[in-house]
Amino acid sequence: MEVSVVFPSKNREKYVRKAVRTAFKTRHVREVIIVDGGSSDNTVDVALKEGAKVIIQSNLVYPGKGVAMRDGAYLSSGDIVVFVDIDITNLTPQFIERLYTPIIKGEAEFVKGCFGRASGRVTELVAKPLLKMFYPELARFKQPLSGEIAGLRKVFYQVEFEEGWGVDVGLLIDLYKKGVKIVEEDLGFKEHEMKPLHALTDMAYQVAEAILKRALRDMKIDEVWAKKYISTISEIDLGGAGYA
Amino acid sequence: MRSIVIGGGHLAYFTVIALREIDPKGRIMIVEFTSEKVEMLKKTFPYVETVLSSMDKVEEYITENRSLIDVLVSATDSDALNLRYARHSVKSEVPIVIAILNNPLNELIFLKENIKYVINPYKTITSKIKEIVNKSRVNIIYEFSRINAGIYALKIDDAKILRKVQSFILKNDSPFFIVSIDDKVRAGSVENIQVGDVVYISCLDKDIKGFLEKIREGAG
Repeated sequence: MEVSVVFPSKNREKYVRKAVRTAFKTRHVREVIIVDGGSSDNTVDVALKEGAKVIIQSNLVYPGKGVAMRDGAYLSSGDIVVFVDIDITNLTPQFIERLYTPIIKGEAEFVKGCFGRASGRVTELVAKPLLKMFYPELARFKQPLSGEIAGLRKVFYQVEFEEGWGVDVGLLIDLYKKGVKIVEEDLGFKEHEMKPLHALTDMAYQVAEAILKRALRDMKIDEVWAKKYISTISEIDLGGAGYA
Repeated sequence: MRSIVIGGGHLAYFTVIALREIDPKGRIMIVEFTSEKVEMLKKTFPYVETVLSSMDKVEEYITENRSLIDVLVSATDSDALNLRYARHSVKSEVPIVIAILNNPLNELIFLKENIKYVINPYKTITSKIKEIVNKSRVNIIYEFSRINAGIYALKIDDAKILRKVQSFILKNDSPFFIVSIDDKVRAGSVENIQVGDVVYISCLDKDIKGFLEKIREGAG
């Protein structure tokens, strides 16, 4: 099986060289894709020099993480697609390999990475309580918002990607609903830049919206009530397959 | 003419209308990935054959039918998919392969992949804004994809620029017209150009680029 590694990135010049080189050193890796969010530094040039495929995300929205992940999945050609945050300072080939190994072994079709540290604030205070309310079967995941994931490429084509921070929890719920075999894999310790507290408001909002939209779609919330009292909630396409 | 349009969204809508105008009797096929959109497209474009496909089957379809396709337009709302399909179509020797960008920043990436015809719908924003606000000396008004030529607007700021523009027009025998400061359009010879006018010249890209470099050198 061949593996494509995707790094969503924006203005990550100082991390991109190491990230691409590390990914190429990983077993089974056929291609490395940088999906750029419109960097003003040299992220794109460095990535191209290192032999990565580069695409600039189709829609320059903030934060646009989901758009970047979607484009990465669509450009990839490996049997397995791995998504990794580019700013992990202790990234190693083993770290990436651990993510996709359960798929190679046939134990999973989608792997959610988790880490040996306390979960983030949005995870503990927003994602987990909402998942416990509406999708208790997913409450077992230690880090449902983890951006380190791997999956068979075909499973990513079965669902829609949220545009922003809701993408990770959205994928988790939608793939679970599709009956995809999901496991959580401990990747050890992850060192990366922490977001300041004020930057978490948008993230928390988008994560909450992603979960509530799906709860509405899956008829776990009364539609009339939701439309009356949750003013910003939007409906999602019940078809949910593909994108054009 | 047999054309395939991949994607059934906003970009594809205008593509299909243009293809129909070019050849009303031609065969147009839209490849779309969601059944809801396929149904909508059938109603919107009853003269078009609309096909539901999975994303991974499109390349296979292009390969199998390459000898039957005259024009392929990759017009999904993901530049990643557009790049994939356009690149595959070029490799499959489809005669005309066009990719329509969602993000103009991807233009160079597509050109590097030997996709000759890349439409950037946002390109006119810059030139239009410059033309309207008129703060730039040179604007690209229109670029022809097939012949690497264009129509360029040059503002005549001073006597030095005036002489250079007159010389350029005469040397290249370039068609031109003049728009004066009060927005009146004039034709005539190069002697009619005055400081304050904007001159619209049609010429090859390489000629105008060389000319602009000379102006910049002169300014430096």
